Amino acid sequence: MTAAILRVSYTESGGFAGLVRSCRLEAAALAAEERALLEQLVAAAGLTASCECLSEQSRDSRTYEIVIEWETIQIHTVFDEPSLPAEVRPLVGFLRERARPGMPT
Amino acid sequence: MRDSGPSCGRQPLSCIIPPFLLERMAESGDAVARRRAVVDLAQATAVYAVRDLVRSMPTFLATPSPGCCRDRLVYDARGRDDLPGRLARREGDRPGKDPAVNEAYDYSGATYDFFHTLFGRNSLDDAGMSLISSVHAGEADGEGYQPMNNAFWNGSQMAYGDGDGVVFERFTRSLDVVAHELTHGVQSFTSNLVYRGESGALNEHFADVFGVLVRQWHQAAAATKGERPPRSWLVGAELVVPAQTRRAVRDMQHPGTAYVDDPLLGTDPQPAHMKDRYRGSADRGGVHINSGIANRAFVLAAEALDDEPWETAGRIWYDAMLEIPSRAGFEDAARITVRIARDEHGAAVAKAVRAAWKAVGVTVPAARKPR
Repeated sequence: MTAAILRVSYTESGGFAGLVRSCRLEAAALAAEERALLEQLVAAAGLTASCECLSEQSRDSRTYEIVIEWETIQIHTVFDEPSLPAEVRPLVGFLRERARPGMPT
Repeated sequence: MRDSGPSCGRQPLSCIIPPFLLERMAESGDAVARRRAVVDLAQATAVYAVRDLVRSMPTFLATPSPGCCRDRLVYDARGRDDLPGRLARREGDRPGKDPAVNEAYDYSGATYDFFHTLFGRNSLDDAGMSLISSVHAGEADGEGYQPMNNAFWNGSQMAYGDGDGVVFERFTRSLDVVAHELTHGVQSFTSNLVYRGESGALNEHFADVFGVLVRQWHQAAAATKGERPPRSWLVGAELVVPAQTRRAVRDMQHPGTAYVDDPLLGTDPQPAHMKDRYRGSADRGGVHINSGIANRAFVLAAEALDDEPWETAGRIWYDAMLEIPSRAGFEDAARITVRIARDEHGAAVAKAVRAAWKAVGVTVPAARKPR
């Protein structure tokens, strides 16, 4: 994946504690190695369509909202812990490390 | 959990199998197929009609206890997320060496005793279902597993992580956390408040109320005669690693003050009044955020009454939890609690409950006097 414009917004919320952490990454502003990794993880996640996948029975699971802006396309996905696909977990791991407390700005 | 079957969107089964087939499987005589279908139905979030069906049948997920009385099963998930894990302690077993196993066992027992003693409730489903807990739950991060920094109710059991050791200790340390998760279980068999927006905030509110009441009741029972333990409205105080910027996960009496300018947690986002309620989409529309408004109303009501919080106020809120509609909002909760207070406890109690809701910005019109 080679993207001229790639932005990823991430908001993690909920869990028993109800903590909110977020980040917004501009691929162009990242170091080359980090940018390449982000592009690789976005491609591997395979998020090709917007969706909201929240389990109905689970309580206090964390919720992950990921918005990918790629060229003119915007994909908006929401998962919770039980519904988070295995192939998206590495991307979430990458974004979690860069997230900070608070709502997205 | 991840062993419960594929999930929506990215994994195929629940999207390939049409809802009517899942519904049929959910009614199957085969327990494994039924359970799997129920979970798949629960995760097929694109089909809203199916969601309603799942809401109406949580009993499919209940594990009946052998004797239809208190029955605890504690499993060790051994750092993985495939629940429940290996059985570590069953009802009647002596304590072992693992504090997490012992805490899950003792605190789920205290919660069972609270609901049974005060309200005559026999377990989560009021039919004696087993209380299943998994401790040492892990979470996958794409490369492996790490200790889960959370606790949750998955529709049929509780799961507790060991925390990161930096912000959170193991989640079984707090009785109010264990009782909170079990109260989600009670709700799944009663009101089953939809876990989104105001109804979701009420779901969290009832879990916080009974989480804290179980702890207060347990502390009072354990106190020596004549001693009165200090009344605390903090949620998860034993759970957080102590620091000057944090003292709990939530403060029901003073929402928004449990942690302030914490470098890792930020500032507690809970509002204490309707005028400050969160209107965004995070946290399923603020279920853990706006619960602070109702939490403060409960504390104000409980503190205004002359007895212990689990007595009159607890009874009103328990009765409300049983009858409140699944899509109720704060105004519905206020109206129902005021009505129960008036009908079951008299005008003075109703006045205190009404005043408590009014203080957080939720007004309940006074009942008209009959002509």
